[in-house]
Amino acid sequence: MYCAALTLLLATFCFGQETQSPKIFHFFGTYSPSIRTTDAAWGFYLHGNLSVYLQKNLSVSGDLFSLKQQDGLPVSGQQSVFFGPEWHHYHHQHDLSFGMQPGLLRQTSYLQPLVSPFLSYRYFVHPYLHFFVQARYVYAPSINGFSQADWRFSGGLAFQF
Amino acid sequence: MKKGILLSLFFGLLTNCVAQSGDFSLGVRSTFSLFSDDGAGLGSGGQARIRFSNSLNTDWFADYIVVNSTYVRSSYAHIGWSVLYYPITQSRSAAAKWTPYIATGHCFDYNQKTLLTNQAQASRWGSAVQAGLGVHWHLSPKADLTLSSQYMIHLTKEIEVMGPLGGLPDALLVAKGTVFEGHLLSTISFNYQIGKLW
Repeated sequence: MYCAALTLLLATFCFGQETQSPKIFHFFGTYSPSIRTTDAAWGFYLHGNLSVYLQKNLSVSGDLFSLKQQDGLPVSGQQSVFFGPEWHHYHHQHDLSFGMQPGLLRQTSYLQPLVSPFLSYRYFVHPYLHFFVQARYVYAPSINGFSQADWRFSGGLAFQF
Repeated sequence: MKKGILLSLFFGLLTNCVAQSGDFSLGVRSTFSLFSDDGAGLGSGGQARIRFSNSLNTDWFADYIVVNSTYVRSSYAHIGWSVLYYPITQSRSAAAKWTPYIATGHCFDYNQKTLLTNQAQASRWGSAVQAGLGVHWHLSPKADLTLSSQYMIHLTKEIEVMGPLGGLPDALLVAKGTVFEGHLLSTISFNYQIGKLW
């Protein structure tokens, strides 16, 4: 039993030494701290992503953010969704990518269009796993000098196939 | 012999002319609305692109644009199409990374205004024509980034903001007559060819 587990672990480790960039898609779910540009208010989002690869160095990504906390207080009913292209630059086990996505912010009473450029870095540790960090700016037009624009930072473990 | 050469030339030209005919692409887009009476705004949307020949393409788009001003939030839904004409066709510049174009088309729009003071709402339908210039940046044989600017002129009923003299606006009124309103729409879009329709 122990031998089998050790063999499996070793095989996984050895297999993981080969660089494997995603072939079809990758996805993740994580928490995302944010800082609003207007008043420097901190927030926390639940962040989900699914990216489908059109070519080796080009994918389209869909991202869903749900704001869970702002300035230490719980928040509900504010989601933002983004969809757009992402360009990848691979080097061995590394992938530096840049993307630009149109999006929509849904608040309780209205929809607000958004646009979001972002930068991601991935480190492939296994044919099906990678670590990632991402920073994105979300631009939202201001209403009477107040804007929902913010910086969002995500990181963690992602899955790829 | 001459007949053969002429036939070869004819079919060669025909093939060249329709080589990209039927290309079907899907895309997403961000639109910046400028120089309107309401102010500047931002929109998100998508488009389908159907190509009819090497020099003629079409964009079928839908946008949701919001313009925020001091007392009013103005939401626009645009559904329309543009014809894209390439003065320099790709057959003449096959290696080109950039393809400029002239565009013009029609659009239907729905506008809803909301007063931020008391949440009063009014809406109307309208139609518009637009024309402008754009350029495709070819990222690969199937993918491109497109930048365009088109001026759109609406023939529409105006939604007027009403209120007491010197006080905050408290009502919206859809005017009876139709007026011309215009704005510049600058769009950045990403498009990917997913197949051929014919």
